[in-house]
Amino acid sequence: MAQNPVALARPRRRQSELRAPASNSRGMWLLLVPSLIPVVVFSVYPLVNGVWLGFTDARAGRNVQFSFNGFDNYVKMLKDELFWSSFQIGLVWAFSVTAIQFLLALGLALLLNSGLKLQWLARPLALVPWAMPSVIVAILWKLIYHPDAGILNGMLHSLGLITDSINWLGSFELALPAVIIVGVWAGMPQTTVTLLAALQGTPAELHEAASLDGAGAWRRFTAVTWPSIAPVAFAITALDFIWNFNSFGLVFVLTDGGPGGRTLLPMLFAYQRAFGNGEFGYASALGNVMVIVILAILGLYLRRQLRSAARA
Amino acid sequence: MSTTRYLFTQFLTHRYERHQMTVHRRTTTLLAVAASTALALAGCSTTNTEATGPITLTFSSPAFQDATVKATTDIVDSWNKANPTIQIKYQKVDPNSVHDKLVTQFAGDSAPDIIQDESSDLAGFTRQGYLADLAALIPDGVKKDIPESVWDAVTYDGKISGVPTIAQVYTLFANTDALTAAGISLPTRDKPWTWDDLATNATKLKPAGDGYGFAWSLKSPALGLMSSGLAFGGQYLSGGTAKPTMAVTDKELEVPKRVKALLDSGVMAPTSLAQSGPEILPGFFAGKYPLILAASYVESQLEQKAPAGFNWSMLPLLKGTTQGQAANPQTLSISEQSKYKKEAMKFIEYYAKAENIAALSEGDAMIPASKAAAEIVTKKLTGRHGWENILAASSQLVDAPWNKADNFPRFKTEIGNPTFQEYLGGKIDLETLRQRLVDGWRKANE
Amino acid sequence: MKPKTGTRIAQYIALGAYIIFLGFPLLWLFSTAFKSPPELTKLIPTILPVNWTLENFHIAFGQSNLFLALRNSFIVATATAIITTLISAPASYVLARSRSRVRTVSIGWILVSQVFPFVLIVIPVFILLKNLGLINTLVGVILVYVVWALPFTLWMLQSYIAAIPRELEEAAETDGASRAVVLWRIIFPLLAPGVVATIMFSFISAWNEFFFALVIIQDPALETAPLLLARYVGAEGLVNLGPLAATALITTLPSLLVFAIIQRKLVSGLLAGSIKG
Repeated sequence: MAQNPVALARPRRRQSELRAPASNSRGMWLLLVPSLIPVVVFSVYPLVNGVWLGFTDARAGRNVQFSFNGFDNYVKMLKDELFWSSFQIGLVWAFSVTAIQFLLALGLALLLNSGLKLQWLARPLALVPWAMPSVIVAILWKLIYHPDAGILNGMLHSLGLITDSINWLGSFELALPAVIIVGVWAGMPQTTVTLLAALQGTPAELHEAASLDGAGAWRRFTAVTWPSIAPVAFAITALDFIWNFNSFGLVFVLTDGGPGGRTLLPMLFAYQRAFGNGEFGYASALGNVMVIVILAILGLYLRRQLRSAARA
Repeated sequence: MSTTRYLFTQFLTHRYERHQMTVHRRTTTLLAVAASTALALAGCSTTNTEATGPITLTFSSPAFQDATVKATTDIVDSWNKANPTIQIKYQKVDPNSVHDKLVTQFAGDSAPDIIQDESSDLAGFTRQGYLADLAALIPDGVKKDIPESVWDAVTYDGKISGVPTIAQVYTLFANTDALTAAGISLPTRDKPWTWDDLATNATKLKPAGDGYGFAWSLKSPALGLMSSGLAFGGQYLSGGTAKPTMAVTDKELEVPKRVKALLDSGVMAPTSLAQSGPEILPGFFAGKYPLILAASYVESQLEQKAPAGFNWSMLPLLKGTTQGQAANPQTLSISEQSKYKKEAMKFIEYYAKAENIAALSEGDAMIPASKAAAEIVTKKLTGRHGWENILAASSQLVDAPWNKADNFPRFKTEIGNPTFQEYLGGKIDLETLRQRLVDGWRKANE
Repeated sequence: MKPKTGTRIAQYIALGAYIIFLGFPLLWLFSTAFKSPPELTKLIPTILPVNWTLENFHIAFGQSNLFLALRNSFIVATATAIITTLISAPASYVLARSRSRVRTVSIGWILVSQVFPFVLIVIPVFILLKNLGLINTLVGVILVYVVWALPFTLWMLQSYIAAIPRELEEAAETDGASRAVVLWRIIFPLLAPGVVATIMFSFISAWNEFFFALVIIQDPALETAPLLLARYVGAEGLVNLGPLAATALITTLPSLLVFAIIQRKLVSGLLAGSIKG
């Protein structure tokens, strides 16, 4: 992970710290053991095992027995329409949520950074979705989208914009956009706070110098603000993309992949395969492909970003 | 994992170590108190599990409507009072994910001893060896009280893996005042509506402006469409084996085609395509559509929620060439993992007593499998909201061809539901629907 | 540097839009929780209840396993928070004080664990827990939560430790104190705020977690609050919107509360500049 986004954004720190005295070093290693064992047993091992399961025909059963079957799962996947549609939906979902999240968060961060009043209300609101379980966020929006008792239809009705209830989460065309909005709402805080922190790291003198030069708002943004927050912006969008592509709980509760599979994200599809159908091997193979997709997209994204950083 | 995200943003902004250094001491105290309470609670809960003496059997049920939950609770409570050595622990499960939950439970060796499910879901579990063969365990009384044809629906390769209790049908509910106002008389059991009559009357009922004549809750359309298709002789599957073959002919397509026509002519409310039974009720009450087709269990919601002065009734099953629908009864099974199969059967025997089944039947508006229970219900409910029409339907139920197919549950959720929805939603034509169903079935059985 | 009035107005309009977008769903949940059944089925609902009622809360507490689920969530979240912090405190000391590869590895691991979708991990974990007889137990859930919270608690705590000057320790050691005494007497008290923050973070993440619990817990009596809600919203909740909203409101309060406590500090740090404006 040489190109990890955190390393990109984070300056090297405290390299000057001294090594602990040699006599203590064995004792200190002992201190690591209580955390090392569980991590190895319950996360490193399962991860390795999970990747391997993707190359087996494992099925759920009282005794999970499985044998290596090479690339069978992947060959099967190529012929599986649901695989193609779910990954396509997953990419549309992840790209749109990430992009909209970023633009909205950038706007909000800029506003929060420009000394307006109402901060007492805006700031906590910008953070609240963070502290809420995804299940509750989903319920929140289900209540808004509800075709008969939801406020969204209610407002459209009273404005005279619609005469018939719209089933937001049940319509082929509207379901994906509707869940994307929920995704944006739920994920905005982390992006907003990150960008805001980056903005506050921008020296005010630069802005002042720029405005003395007579630069307009847009010019100031492109010349001063953006360059100073760009590394953080790239890192947070990369992370947002990973999280969104791997997202599960929100859409599971909102639509469970429906209607007609129109919101079946890759994780939902994999979960359905694993725990609805017992296909542990195939589900793991789907997981492996998800990793490859993420790494490929991340690679492209960060390479461009590194190159442009080198040019600058 | 919102908090992990939080920390990430902290990394990105490498600020947090400077700003978190002070948190009130009061919170520390609060946490200490919280911690000790939690540990104490955890302690309590662990001591409970090592009980000796009486055995405890778990019983999972997807019942969710107030009346049925109450009936189930009453059955379990009265049993527990009478049988101190065999205690039953009632677990509620989400009716929308019974199958998924069971797959997970069987795989995790954590299945309940007694499992309520429906017969169309049992074939695969039976053949995978998760469900005990009840043939030798079922007491004669229970055996005789349920018609042989219903037992057929739960027998797989000679093994009986569930005791049928109550069965649902897809039935029409009518806003009777609206029908009267439109000069439409209610159908009778001798002269039930055909699908043609439904189309005619629904069209007549559609108001000139906003509103519709008819709605059908088709959020998960496969089972309802396929079951109703039996009235036109649409079998879908044939062979009666674990992996039967699928054929989709004009007979099978009859019901989907008719529903599509109602949608296209603006008679059927398109919102109902994506709604479950209970969800279409507000529109029914508000007069948006005076006729709805839904699974019979919705009756209980109507009973509870219908506004005062709202008159309604269940109508006889719709007729195609027959009034046939699939017998897909609720069942009680015993998991192979259970250590106490005999004791579990004793509870099932108790549960299957006529009065109990009658109470459940009333709660969910489903047809009792037991003849004795049917008598009780008939006596009690005839004349109320068209109950007699539902009870009469028991003779129309046929052993559905998909009851024996291992991969039907998977086909239903992965192929059936989305494909029918796409067809009704106007995304694909009839030929594509046919092709996708046949291909999908083949793939599900590969 | 003062922006023009026009710009200011535009900014306020934009901020207002944000406030509505972010806050309205919460207001609607709140309002639904206090509405009576007839109000809930009105085709054109009002934003606030006409007749406020506590009925939904009565139903929520009366009919479902809400108390049990809250208790389970509380046990799981508290145990996770405490165990995680206990085992990560010593390790974080090593991470902070030794310039070893362990540091790089641990950061690397945090990242890797984000890229991998949970479906890859949950199946082996499921099989593992099953073999240990821990499927369908709170202990199983706690174990998994502890492990997945560890990288973060390690990282948080180590940065608190790194901020404690080494000279303090060295001075104590030259005075003849043993290392254990130094850790206990000097490092630990200074670390208390960090420990509290860490505990709270792991508490919230455990309180909110859904996916692992969905797979591990099968018995409704052991359900955590998010599981209860997900089950409730499936069939019952759709016909009982009021109690559903009330349950959701109750469930979200603890994590909001904990969040509010730490957030005051965090926000004031992170967003301090915006107040000074």
